[in-house]
Amino acid sequence: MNIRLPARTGGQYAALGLLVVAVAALSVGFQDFRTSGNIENLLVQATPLLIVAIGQTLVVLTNGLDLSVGAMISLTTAIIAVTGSPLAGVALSLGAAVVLGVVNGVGVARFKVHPIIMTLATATLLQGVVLVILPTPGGAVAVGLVHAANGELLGIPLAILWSGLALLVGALLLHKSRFGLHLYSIGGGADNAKLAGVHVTRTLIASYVVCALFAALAGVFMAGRISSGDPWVGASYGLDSIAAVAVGGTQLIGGIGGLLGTACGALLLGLIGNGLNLMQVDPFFLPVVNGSLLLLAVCLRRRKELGL
Amino acid sequence: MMKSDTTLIADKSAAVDRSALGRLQGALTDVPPSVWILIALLVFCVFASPVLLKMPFQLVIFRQAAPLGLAVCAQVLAMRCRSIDLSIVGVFILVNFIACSPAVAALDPWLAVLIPLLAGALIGLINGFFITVVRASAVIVTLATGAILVGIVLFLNSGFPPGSVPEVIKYLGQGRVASVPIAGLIWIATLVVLTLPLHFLVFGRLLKAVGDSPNAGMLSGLPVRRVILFCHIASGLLAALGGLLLTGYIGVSSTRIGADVVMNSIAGVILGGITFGSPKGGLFGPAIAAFSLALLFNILNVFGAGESGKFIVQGLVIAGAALLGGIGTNNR
Repeated sequence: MNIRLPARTGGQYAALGLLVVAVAALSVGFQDFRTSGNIENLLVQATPLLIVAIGQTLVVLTNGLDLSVGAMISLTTAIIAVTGSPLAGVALSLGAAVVLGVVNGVGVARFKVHPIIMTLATATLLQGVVLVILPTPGGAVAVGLVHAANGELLGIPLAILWSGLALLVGALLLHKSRFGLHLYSIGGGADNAKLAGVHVTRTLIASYVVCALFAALAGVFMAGRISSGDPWVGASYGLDSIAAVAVGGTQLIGGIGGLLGTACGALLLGLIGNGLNLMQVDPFFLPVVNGSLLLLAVCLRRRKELGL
Repeated sequence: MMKSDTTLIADKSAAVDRSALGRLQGALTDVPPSVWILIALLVFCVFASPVLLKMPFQLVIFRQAAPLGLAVCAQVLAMRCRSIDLSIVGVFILVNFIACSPAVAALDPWLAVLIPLLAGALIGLINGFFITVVRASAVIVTLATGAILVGIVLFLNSGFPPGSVPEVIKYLGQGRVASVPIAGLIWIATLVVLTLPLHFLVFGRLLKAVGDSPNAGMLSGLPVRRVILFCHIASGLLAALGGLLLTGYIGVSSTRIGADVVMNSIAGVILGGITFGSPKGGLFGPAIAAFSLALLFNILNVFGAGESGKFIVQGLVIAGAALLGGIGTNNR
């Protein structure tokens, strides 16, 4: 299947290989790793990162970046915790995500603001709004939502189901729809895409909206998981999701990469945390290992561009 | 474009008026947004809180702005060659850790200042190496080095009791010469020193060319990689100086130092009228931006806006400046 698009694959298979090697090494080295409980735990913990990273992939493929996903996650948990009703909370959050996506998209696509600047500004603004809604962690989340995030179906955690569903939706959008094809073409070269008849502005705005929606869904899951709201819970996800996408072999200049790599990247980052925990390494050391992995990942792929 | 040409032919007098107006408009859009913001803030102070305009307060704000001002200088150099430095927060924390470690505090005062600065330059060199030699994305590289530095310092700090800041660094951060804060003087001196290569040496033109188009620079045989490498080394050094002044100012070892400096430095650059690879724009706009941001935070404190208000205003200001810049380029 991938023979058709070899040039668009990027380093996805390298990420898959790295994931397989890491899983093999940890299963050989640690008996505790092999227990089904640990592996389930790992998958559940990686779920929010995976969901955010799917949306981030779509934006990165257009040669963009969305740093506001972290604040969007925090906003969603805050809204759900404050409103109390899951239906109204989720609906409000999705509405807020559409607004955020449109603002980001219009700034980037229409006014040609650099995505880093635009989404950094909206992330800051949104973080302020979150702190107005919910200054300190707290609030109550409806029982149904807590069950949906932490429950099990036939012995399998529901979280795995949610991440599988998110991956499926992301894959359909990216690989089976015209929208996905247009994302790749814009990432390959926005001017050429425009000449080929792609509505560049519209598609870019849509990509930021979809990314914000995925972030809101990750926030809904987070709210259920911690069963409360936390204005800072999403803070690290902006950068972590970009790390997952980059480790997954998607190139930040756009047009090259995909969701297989992103899934591997998100799982790899989760695996590292899990492995360090098993090795009883100081948790403060985690960012050092993650950062080094990120540097290693970018060293493995040479590109033509200099700078950003 | 077409439209203005036809009016030029149809009605000459109107065209002259318009071109004069156009020139005025051009001159006004060349003024960095930070100047307008500073004017707006000062006018606001006159009516709402005149006490902030008194000289002692202005000098306090001047001192508070100095570390950010240096971080903004660092970010200007990175962004003008189409790169970015997200590792400034890591450098701030590293500098704080090194300056407060007992081994460094026991050394000569000169070395206590020099070693943190060299550490900053080394981080810049590492960033520059990955960006120019490995050709990795600057966002990823500086993000990773920043995360690694923060992690290393937190890891090393978890077992150590916090040390104390050497007197010489406290003096740099808190001292005054005839009631003018030394930190501010260091900032001004740095601006003057930086203006030299940017405006009067070949380096400034190289930077302009590289920022405009790295590929064209490469094809014309310019030392594109060396320019970017040098900018990152200088960026690390300037960030380290900012971190040193902030360490001296707060006077204690802290792992939370400079938590929002990356964000504010980018804000300062944007408000200073500079974006990625922008060919024009000196250090005046960004310096005014750093001062304006410090003044803005003080005003927000006076009115009890709290953390949330600070974030909202900050986000609005950056988005506003960036969008206005976008509208400007769209019309051209």
